[in-house]
Amino acid sequence: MAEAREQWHSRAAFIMAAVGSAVGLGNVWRFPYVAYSSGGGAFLIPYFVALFTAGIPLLILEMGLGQRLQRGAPLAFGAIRKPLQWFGWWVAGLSAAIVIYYTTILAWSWTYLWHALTQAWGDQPETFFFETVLRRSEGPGEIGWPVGPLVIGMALTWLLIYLILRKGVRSVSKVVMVTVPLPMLLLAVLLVRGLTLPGAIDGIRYYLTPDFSMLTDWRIWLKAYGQIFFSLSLASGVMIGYGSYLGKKAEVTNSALITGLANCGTSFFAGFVVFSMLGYLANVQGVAVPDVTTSGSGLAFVTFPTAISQLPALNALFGVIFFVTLLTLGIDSAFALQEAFTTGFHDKWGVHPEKLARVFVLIAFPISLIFVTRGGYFWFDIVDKWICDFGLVISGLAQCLIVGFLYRVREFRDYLNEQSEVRLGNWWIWALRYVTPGVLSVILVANLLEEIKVGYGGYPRWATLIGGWGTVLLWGVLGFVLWRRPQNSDRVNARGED
Amino acid sequence: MPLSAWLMLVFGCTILYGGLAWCIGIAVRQRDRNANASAESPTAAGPEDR
Repeated sequence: MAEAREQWHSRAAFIMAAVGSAVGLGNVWRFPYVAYSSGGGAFLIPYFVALFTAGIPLLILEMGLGQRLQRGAPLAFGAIRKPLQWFGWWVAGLSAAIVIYYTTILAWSWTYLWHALTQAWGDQPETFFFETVLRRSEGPGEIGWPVGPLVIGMALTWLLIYLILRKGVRSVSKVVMVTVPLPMLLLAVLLVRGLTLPGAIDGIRYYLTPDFSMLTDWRIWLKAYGQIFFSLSLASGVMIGYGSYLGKKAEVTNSALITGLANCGTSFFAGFVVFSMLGYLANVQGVAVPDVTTSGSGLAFVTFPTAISQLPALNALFGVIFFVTLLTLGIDSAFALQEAFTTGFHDKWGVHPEKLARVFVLIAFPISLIFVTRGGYFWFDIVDKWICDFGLVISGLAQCLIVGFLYRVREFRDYLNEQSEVRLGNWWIWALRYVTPGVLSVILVANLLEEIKVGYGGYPRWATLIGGWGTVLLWGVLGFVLWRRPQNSDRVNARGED
Repeated sequence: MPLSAWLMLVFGCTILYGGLAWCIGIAVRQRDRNANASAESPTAAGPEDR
């Protein structure tokens, strides 16, 4: 007889975990730049439209599916149509692939946390990042050995993930009560520091001043949908896995609304932190704010360290605060992604959470070392691009179509409404069936055309074929193998399935 | 900062933080109602309500 499924300690623990998973590094290093370069304050209009017509409907779908079926992505899709379990394993596999390369950023952050004590990057942070920290080679063909300090950072990250996940959702319920509010608090400290610096208000003016003429450009709307989609940890099976640990009578719709709004509220807030610092940096360097504005790893590991070095006092303290913020933002997303993958093994074969966490970490850690080799930065870039631009988009599109057309969606909506604090109307079904699939199809076609016409990042084709398409397709093969492996007989009996 | 930037600031804060406060308010009121219901009838709400 299989044991009873674990549940979250409380509704607050579930919401905290979902917010922790959604809020990640992208909220700090991507949203502010996308907003600034896409019409400033005017970007909020397409951003909110995307949030309410695609982000929150998909969030409700994923949390609701997990809660109703009490299974992670693989068996949840398998319950809709048996062969779809293959798709479910592929979705979960994407989350495993993401956590393996995502830990690279946390390894960089650990290294920078150490260097922040002395601001070791000096006055050449770009050279320091690429040559001293990453020891970057000439291209993806020149891999080299793993870089020692980054291996230590990687090992620390995986050890933390193991410790957090070894008791399953019981330990996650406790950890998120610290790791979710802490980065918010640290961001608030950085904001207070940023706002008291000269030039900060100039930075914020660039961030907020609206350019409404940009709203007539369809690409801005596409960007808003893309930002919402990637920012909410959608399509990777995380929210299905987390939802599966809710009780059968638990509320879903309002929890999804809270998660979505908290995630976007953090992004909006982080924009003030980033742009107040950029305004100060521009002021000190005597240049315009756009000249220092950047995003991604360039913002976190080049521009921000420069700003920290230029602070009038307590540079080491604010350096440490910034990199601890990155670490705490990233670790929630990392363990949520691993949990999304391993939940399938628990559901299908009844493997204990501690064993799952241990085996996954022991397999994933050596694989992740590829990304901290001298050529690792290039492979990180390629895998990230393909998983996000193709893997997750295809997964999100397929999820909407599967639930919208193969899974009695009206009955599903009524089920959610029975226990919900906020009622769903027909708009939700329309969003799932037409709006989100329509937008994701356009994004997918645009990404495919760009890849065919110009390639990506000047990388050789063999590298994008192996690292990009290879990673996405590999999980299709592994997903097939996992689907075909028979389920444990006690799990079959417990669920009344064959 | 220009007036339009201030207006977008108010717009963003109202939708995001106002919306968040509204949703949390609904959840808190529902929790209180459930607590009252379970106090009146101990079998009305169990651990599955989490």
